[in-house]
Amino acid sequence: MSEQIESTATEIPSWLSGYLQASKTQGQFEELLKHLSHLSGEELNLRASEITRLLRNGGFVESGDAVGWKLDPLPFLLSNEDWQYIEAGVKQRVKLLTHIVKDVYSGQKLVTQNIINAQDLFNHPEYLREVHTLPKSEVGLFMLAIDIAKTEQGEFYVLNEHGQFPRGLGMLLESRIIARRVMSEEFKEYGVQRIAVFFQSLQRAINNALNSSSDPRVVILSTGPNDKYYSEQTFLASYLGYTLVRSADLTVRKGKVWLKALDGLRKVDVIVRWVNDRHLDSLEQQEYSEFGVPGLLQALRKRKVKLLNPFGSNLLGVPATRRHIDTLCQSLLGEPLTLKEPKTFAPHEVASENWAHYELRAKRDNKFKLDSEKEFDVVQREVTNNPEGFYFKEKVPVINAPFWGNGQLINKPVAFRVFVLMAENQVHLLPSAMCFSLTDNSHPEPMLIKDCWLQHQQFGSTFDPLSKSAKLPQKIEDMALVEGLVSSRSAENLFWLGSGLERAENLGRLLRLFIERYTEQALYPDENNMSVLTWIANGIEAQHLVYPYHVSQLTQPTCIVSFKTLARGMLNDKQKTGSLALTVSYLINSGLQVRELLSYDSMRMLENLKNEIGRMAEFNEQTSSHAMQSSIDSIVGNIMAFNGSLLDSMPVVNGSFMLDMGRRVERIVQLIAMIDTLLTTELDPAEQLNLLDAVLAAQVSSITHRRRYRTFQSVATGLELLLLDAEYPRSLVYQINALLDLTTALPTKGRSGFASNLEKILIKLKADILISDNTLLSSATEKRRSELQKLMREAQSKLTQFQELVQLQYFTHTKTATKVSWQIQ
Amino acid sequence: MKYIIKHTTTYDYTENVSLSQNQARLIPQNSELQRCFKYDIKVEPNADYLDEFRDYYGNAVSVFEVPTLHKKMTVTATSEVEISTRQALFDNTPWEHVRELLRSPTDKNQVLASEFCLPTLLTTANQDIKNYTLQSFTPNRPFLEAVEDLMGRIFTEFSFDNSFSTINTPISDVFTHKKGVCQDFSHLAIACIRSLNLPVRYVSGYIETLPPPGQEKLTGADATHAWFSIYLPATGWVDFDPTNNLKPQEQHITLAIGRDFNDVTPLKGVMYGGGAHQLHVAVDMTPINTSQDINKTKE
Repeated sequence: MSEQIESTATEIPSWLSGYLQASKTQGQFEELLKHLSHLSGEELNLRASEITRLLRNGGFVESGDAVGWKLDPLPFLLSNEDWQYIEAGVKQRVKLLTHIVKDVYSGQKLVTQNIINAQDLFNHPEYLREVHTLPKSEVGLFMLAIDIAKTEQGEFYVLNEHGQFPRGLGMLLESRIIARRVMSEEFKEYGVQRIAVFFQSLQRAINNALNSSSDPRVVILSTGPNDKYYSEQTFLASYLGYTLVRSADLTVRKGKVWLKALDGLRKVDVIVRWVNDRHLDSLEQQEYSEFGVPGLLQALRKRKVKLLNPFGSNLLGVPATRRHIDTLCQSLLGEPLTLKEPKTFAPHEVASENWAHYELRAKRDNKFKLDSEKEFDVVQREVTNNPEGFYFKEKVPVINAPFWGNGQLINKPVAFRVFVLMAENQVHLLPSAMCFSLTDNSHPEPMLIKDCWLQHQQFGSTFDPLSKSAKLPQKIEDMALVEGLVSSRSAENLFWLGSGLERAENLGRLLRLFIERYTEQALYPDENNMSVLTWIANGIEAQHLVYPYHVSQLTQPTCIVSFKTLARGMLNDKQKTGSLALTVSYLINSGLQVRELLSYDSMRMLENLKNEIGRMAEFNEQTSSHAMQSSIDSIVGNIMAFNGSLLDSMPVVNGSFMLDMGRRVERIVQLIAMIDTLLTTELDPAEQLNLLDAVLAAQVSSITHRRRYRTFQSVATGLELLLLDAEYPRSLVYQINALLDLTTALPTKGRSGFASNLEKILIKLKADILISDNTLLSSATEKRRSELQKLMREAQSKLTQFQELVQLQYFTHTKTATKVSWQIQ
Repeated sequence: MKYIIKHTTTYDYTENVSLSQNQARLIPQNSELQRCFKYDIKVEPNADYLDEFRDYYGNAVSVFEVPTLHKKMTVTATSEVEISTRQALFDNTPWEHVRELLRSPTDKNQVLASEFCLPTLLTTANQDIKNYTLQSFTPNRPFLEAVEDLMGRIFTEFSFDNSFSTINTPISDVFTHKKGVCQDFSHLAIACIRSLNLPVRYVSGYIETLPPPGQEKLTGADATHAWFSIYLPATGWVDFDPTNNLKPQEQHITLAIGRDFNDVTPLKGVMYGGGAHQLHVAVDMTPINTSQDINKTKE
């Protein structure tokens, strides 16, 4: 084969020929090269950057996550021969592992036969004693990820097993969707096997987990956004259509598990856990954890809930369980072990001159790994101090695969993560694998991954893999269109997201207006304009016009030294409550808390916002007002786009009404604060009109006002438009009506046909506004519009009541629990 | 010997508790030498869920939930227990032999025992403690005899002081200061024995205390107590009370066994609200047919 390629070397692109010359092991990549040699180096670069763009958006921003893993544009082509071998090996292994788990947690014959060392087993933190108290039906394996390596001699080794939860499954799915998009031609031409079937089996297995319930309520239990694997959890939750929850969303009452939803407690039937089983029940288990659900084990014991993966499935993390797996294979199945296990030895069994062939592993900590060659001294120290605590594990010379970087191919050692589902007495393998680079512990670098392509066996000229009924969603955008239950916590976050969006937008408009006015003032000094600027600047500085909207009298504005400094501080000073940077950070954070409910496009807007406040952080004295304006434009523009993307993708049942409610409440608060601050003092007519115009502009109402009151404009007309017109979408009454509509979407325990307490507050407020008279409101005695001020203060207090009641009735279940233990006195 | 036992635990909270979930190990064991005829667990305010299961070590665990708003919770466990005396013991198995045997256990009892050879967080010995142990565990000495010697040394060299330690006091401190209560002495003895990779477990229970001659016994004067138990392959589990330097006979009632205190916590819970809390425990052991010649014991 190498000859053949060399002979045609002139026809293949230089990135490939260069690699072929440098690499001596191209034999196994023959297929890959055949299919990809038509791509030029530039084309590959283009695809690589397309991947970066797609991944950045989909995977999104937790700190460090962006460098966590990187998808290579070149897929790994798994030969059918290798795959058949792996598949048979995995199936054999699953039989053995199932046997081991069942035996250790019931009977322990393997221990008395000394196939598993008793003390190594009992000493390991992943040996969970509580499993023995569960019914047998709740013990076993469900999903497994197995890391397999191939050696240059063509042997297959198991490097690692992930029994806790299938780490990387979401990543693989996401990579596949992206790879298929970036390599669509090649994908089709090669006839890549689809993976959707596997996810359908998974979904079926989850739905059938409880025999008694035909339509079980399924949740995915996560530890939350700080989890390294959170992106894939949100991804899988949206893809599979299950509610993503955290510890605080679940509670155990009367031995059953419940979801704290907006309308009260809803029974949970199946929990797909993405939480370590050592931390699942802080009542019963000794290790206290904020991620567990107190009482969960009792519910499992009584079979009131199904847990997947089953409790204790990470027994495979105990090295002692597999030490003699080859012996077990012979005795149990009467055949040799297909997928080999690297040999292990006690420290005294390996002479130090041979250490280079081994790595040192700890018996109790699976993450501990030392390369005996590179870290000889440390290994020596550990082994001398605690010979019982460690063992040597044979290094496996794994094959390399070419990765695309800096315009050329670089070889890196790789392994393959294979995903297995055990359900309905069958073993299902996902017909692909996550090919990943094996990184050195000492030099952490992003894990490089490749999509693995497995050719469809019936692939021929007439077979079109895309025409199969089982389909992946065509676009990632589709995934957020999933409807499900909204937990109280999500509802609360949506409320704050809505409120943050509105606040940032209003603040953006206010600052834009402010900057426009003061730059104009610099060019064309005008006393009238100066007065307006001073009013606004004072309102901003004293936080009347911006969050937290202090209420107090602003009568005689004082002179502000630099408008520009004030504006810049409001933009980027994160120490300043109510600054745009802080407001946007809060709203991004609220968004991330509910990211499983947001579409791909919405997430992209959030990322743009994050980048923009990153840019704003650089602002200093030299920054031009123009640059500040363009940042504001970008932020307001992205918020508008975010709102638009939500309209398109978030159904009401997913809690969009909660977001809308947050938005309306904030809009009212802000409108009231502005009118209270800027329009309750009577000014000279010209000055007054100028300030009114600024208020209207900040409320996006100046054009409407001018059109409607062409001949005569005054504070009275302004107030009529901003407060009283029920048909004008920016008016106060309009917002109250909208809030009233939204409250009907909230579940209530009251009798139907009667107003709820929330509605009563709004109805009172609405009545107060509607019966006011704009002439009376705008008239002043001793320069003071006291009627207007009274109405604004009253409205403000009603709204505070409203918010407190929403908080109390719908968001209070998010309290945390404390643990108390009896002590000897 | 037969007793009626009443064990009352009261939690006083500074703030309201809206919901609490609890697990109690307050039901005496059934074993070769002990029979629990009757038991009853009462919770005030009323529990709306009460269930029971056996944990990994065979202890009966009561699970209950208190859903009403409360500032005080009382758990009252009553039981009727009969206890019989063990025959005099002769077991000359050298300690090294026990250790070797349990390295590769061949039956269920041995497997279980081998687990108790391993130190836990509360029972990890340092080198000083190990050296201290080796003074009693001379080569080829019978396991039983060595433990008796060790218990005697702990009893004479350590003083009972209930102001010294809390549950969080590490045994290395107990060892250095030579002070503590029953729980500390038991954890220390266990750490000693496990430092040689030998099987020993923690026992929680009750001990009957007798009033000084001529005085009437006070209500609530009996106590929860802790001691330890070693495994002799030929005999089974044998109890030792290092606080009183004796092998328990008829005044020790076993509640639960485990690797250390954390496995047998009599009552633990997770609650919403509550603030700080105060705990009050009272135990009464009433002999059903009285017996005279028992020495006063420490708790």
